[in-house]
Amino acid sequence: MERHAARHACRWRHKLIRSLRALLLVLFSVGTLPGEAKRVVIMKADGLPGWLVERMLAERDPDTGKSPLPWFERLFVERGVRVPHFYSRGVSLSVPVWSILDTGRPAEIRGNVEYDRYTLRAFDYLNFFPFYFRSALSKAADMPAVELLDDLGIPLLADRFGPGHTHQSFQLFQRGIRWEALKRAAGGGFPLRSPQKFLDEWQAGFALSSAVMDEVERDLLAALAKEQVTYLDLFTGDFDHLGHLDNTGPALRAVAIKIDALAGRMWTAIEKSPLAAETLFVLVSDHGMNTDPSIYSQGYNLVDLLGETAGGAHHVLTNRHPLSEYKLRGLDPFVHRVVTASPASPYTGASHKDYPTALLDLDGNERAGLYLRNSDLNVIHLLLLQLERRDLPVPVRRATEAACRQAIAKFAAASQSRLLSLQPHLDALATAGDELLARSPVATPGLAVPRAKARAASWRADHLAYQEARAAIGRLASFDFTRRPAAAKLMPKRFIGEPNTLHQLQNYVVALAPEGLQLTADGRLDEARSFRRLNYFDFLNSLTVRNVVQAGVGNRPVDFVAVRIPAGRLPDGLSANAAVWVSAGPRQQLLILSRAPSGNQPGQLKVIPIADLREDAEGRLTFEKLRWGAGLPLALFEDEAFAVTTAEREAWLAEWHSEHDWLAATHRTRYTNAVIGLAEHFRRDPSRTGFHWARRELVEADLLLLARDHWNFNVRGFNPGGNHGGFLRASTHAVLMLTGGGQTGLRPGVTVQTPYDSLSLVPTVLGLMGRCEPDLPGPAIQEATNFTCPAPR
Amino acid sequence: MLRLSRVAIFFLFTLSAGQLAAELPRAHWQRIPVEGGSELLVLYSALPDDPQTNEHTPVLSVLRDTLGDDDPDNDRLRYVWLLTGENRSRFTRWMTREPARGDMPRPLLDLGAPGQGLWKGLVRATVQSMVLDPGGAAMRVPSRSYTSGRQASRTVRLFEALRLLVRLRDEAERGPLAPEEYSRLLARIFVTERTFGGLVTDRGVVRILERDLEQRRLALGRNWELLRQRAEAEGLVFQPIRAEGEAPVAALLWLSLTDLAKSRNRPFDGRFLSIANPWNGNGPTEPDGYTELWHFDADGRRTADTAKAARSEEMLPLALYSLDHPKTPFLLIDFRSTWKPAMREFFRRLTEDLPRTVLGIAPMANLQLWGTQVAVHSIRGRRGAANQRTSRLRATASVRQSVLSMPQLEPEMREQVAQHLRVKSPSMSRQYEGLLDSSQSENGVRRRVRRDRERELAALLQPTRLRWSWLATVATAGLYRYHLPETPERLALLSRERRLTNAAQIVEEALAAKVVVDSSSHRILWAAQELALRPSAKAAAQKRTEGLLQRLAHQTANEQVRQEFLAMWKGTPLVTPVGGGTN
Repeated sequence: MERHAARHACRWRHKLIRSLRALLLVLFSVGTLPGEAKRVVIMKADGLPGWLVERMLAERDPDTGKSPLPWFERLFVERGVRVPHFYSRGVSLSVPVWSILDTGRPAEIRGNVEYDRYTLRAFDYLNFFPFYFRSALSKAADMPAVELLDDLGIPLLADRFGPGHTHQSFQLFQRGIRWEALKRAAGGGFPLRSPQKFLDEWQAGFALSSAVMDEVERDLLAALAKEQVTYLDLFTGDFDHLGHLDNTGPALRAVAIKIDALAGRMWTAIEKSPLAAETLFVLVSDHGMNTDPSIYSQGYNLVDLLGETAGGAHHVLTNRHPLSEYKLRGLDPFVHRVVTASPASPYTGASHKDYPTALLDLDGNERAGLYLRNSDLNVIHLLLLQLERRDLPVPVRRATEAACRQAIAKFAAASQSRLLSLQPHLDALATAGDELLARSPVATPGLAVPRAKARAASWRADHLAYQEARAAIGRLASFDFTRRPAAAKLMPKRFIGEPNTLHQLQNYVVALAPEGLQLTADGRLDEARSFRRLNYFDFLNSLTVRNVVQAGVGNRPVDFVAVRIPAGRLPDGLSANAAVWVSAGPRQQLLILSRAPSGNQPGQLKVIPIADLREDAEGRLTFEKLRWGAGLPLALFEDEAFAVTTAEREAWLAEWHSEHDWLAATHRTRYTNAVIGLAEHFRRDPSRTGFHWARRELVEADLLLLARDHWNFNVRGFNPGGNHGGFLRASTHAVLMLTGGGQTGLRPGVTVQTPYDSLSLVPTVLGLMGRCEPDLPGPAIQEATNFTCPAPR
Repeated sequence: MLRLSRVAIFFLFTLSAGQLAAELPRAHWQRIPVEGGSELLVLYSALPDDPQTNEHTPVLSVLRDTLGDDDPDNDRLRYVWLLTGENRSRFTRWMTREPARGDMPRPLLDLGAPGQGLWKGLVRATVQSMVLDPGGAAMRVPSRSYTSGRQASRTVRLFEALRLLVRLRDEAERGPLAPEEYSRLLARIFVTERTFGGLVTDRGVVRILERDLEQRRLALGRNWELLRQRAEAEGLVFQPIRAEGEAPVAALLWLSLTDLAKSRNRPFDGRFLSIANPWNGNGPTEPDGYTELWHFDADGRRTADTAKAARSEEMLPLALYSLDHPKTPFLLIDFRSTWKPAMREFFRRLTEDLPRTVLGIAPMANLQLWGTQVAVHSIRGRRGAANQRTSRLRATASVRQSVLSMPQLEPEMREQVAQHLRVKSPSMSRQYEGLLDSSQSENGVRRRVRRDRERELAALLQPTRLRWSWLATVATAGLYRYHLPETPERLALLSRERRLTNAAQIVEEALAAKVVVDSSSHRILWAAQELALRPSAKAAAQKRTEGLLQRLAHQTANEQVRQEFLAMWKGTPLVTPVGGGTN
């Protein structure tokens, strides 16, 4: 009996323990389950600054007792998740940042415009006219930036939802065009049915852009009613457009209020839609806006500077006409290559259109990516022009010819090595286009055929252009000097060659010396004395202006210049995989060192202050290490908003830290996440192969210039209202807020105090939708949800 | 030649005709009651720097028909008068009849019937084209020049008044006017310059105004930057100037004589600057006339503190530009050739007026000429030429209005600029005196208000008869107009209809702005309730009301508010008061 009772008690004990285990498992697993949102609606507000939204949310309207942004307050502050410390990653420029926000991957696009150094193909990501034109002819399906991402094999967030399940609006990373919406907008903008309305619109000026926006909104609200559509987005560029031109507070606030009202209408429609309880609603912006009502943002014209003798007398290639709104030619929406000739160019007899020597994008904002023709090519061109002369003394001719041969050999070796590495990919490219077209027969519905046509045409064009470049290089390399050279026939046209090394940028050949070609004692060409050279770092950092007319705006437009330091050039003791050199002057320099992730260890960054960094002709780097102090670029040491105390700061800065630690320490400082941003901007992924990945090296600018506060590098027009693009907090402080129905797994009323950047949007959204992707590098916003996705690798 | 001289005279007259509206920010409104249930609201402004007088000058007056009660929702703004004086020649005074004492002076516009100005303008244009133009140059040139001159004078005074009103609005100094009234007033005054402006709806004119103000703000910033960059590129010194509390509306370009000594014969690109090369050897090499000594610190910033100065330079003024001009800065004064801007303006006017005024070629009669003009105009406009006369007048008026209160200018420079721009002290126009007299007279304002109400009642109660009576009005050249006499009952009806019109406007604006209505949208909820509880006497208005309420029901944030609007639309009694629910 007793044994029976004991066995019975033991059985009950086991049952109890098993039940407790099961209960613990259930309780624990509720905290680790992904969310259950079935639909996501993303409102993309380009340029809406986080600092303005936070300020307006804190205000109270005396009449209503609410914020001037009542919908943001109700949806995101009271019922959703607000991330007040959300920042752009990398340069705070629309195309690069939207590429991160729309893919969840680090930016492979580094500017609004990029150029291929070998072919001068311009990747103009902002110009939508050619895209619309080609789309109308069924020769394109996607915006240029999306075509590039497709070539690189990087999917958009929207791609995960499949065709038929997505609804995208007009935006930079757009697939397809909603022609019906455009048609309705065109009709709506000219309301012919109502004479009174027509008169009103005519007198006010036909507002086609707002007519388009109205139709886009109408389309979205209609799509919300369709249960099968699970990804929707709506893009508005109103704030960015106005913010560049108008710095007055009331005007900017009015746009923010308009965006708030739009969010209200979208949410009202979501609440009435069939998937209301499972719909996630996200408001995100790519960057902020550096604007001040008492200051006009001042532009510095780099095109003019580079065209002057002091700047190198370059023929400067840009994607559009400078000051395009003051030119008839500026009306041409298809222009993608404009060369501004320098009257002081040393390359006499050469057409400026064939031989641009500097490339810039017009819409630089607070940064400019400067491409310079390889300095060795300049040497070759100058020497060939000299060899064309009939009056050159024999010893000089002989020495010049020898130097020219040597320069050509060096140039050809580098170029041909590049082409050799690209050749297998180029061969594959030639056939890949045909194969793609074969897989997409004409009858295929949807966008597959125009997409295939566009990609095939692009690949064919690249293949052809590289063949031409190879032939031109071959012609130059094989010239044997048995006859008088003709520079115009030998120099590769529309080609700027390999990226310049640091040594070349510090000793850039711009022209012959005033005294002309000089010989050494042993009869060789004295290159040191024969050429006029420019150290672009010193030159750019020392730029000043005559007119200093605004309080808060200094006389020096350039804040600092940044370049990549190739990993192999770094001294061993630094134990870094990559580095970025930041120079604001000879004694004001930083090295931002990166270590790649290893095992469970995340990537790390470290910054060291240095001076007088130089690279010699053999590629050896020398510099002087400094102690931390005030006056260095990024002002890390003296910034009071740095989250590490002054006493501990030097020790902290001497150590390696993860990105997370850097962001936490610096996000409130003047330059927020510049350290991460600069490392990100110059990051390369050596594991990727293929022509398009390999070509990324050739579309990177030689120099990244950052403008000082309230300066900009726009040349297309004037942006006196405000700018972004740099790392100043006003420019990088963006918006991220989320809300949703009861079944999305979102925690209501949460304000996330941890700082995050653009990489976190996609993993957060996917996690809330139960679609965790562990290989996404950015951290999901854990505080916002009841779920946990596996940590990123 | 005589013809051209007359044109030049009228042109010069036009430039000098603008009056300096009173300086900012001192301005105030005065209410002058008018017997019979209306009031005159007069805006006065002061010129603080005028040492001779501390008086406030009347700038603008608005008549508000209050129906004699305290209910602001049944008020109507009616007539607007510009009260700043214009310099009129004896000939002009002889040509135009002054109103008799006690009669209401001619208003700038009638807010109750803004489209009337269009028809008068069309009649004038028709008479000019059909009667005067065919009469030869002797009739055509003076008549067109006179009209043009008067128009220019009015434009300048109008812009000065508008600037004051906008400034007061930005400072939330609307005086006795409600925000919607103020916006409407401002917008309607603005569109009087447009041929078809009077036909645009109230909402439309507000949009026109806001868009224009936005364009103006953008132009100020863009021109500032353009001029600064051009100055920088050409080695000149840029000095923006502004009135207190405003964005810079003007800028001066200076030449440093130190720089001139170092860089004589430097290349010069005068694009957008419209001045001769200051660097060539033909320019003044010695300070000739006015110069200033400026001090700069080590960063190149101008400083008044000589102790901080790293260098001092003697500066020669080159030119003054207005930044308040579309696309490019507008040259007002070329200090080295003061006659050039006037001569340039003369040739612009000649080019603009030559075909029509001098040669008598109507645009539509010669499409090739018209097409050529349009093409040249567009191309030049694209490149930044100052093609629009109205824009040029506005550019001048903006600077002239503020020049006496620009602290950046040294007194002597300020005096020079004022002299060049012919800045004059403001004077009160005879319109103001006439208006005051007429407000007290039985035959003046009172009579007009009464007639207007009677016509409003006729439109409300007997619209068909009113429509047919138009024939009699035309036949008697306006002497006969059908109206219904006021009675207390009819006035009560009028009050109710005005409230309903007001409420309908509020709802229409909310619908147009796509406001999502919830319980905190008090004004919209009040308006909806007003429309629902008081049906209009006009069937068309009642139908419109029902449509508005139905649409409003679909633009609500929550179900409770939506049900309330639907109940209003269907005319069923409300169970709970509007807005009593929660979100």
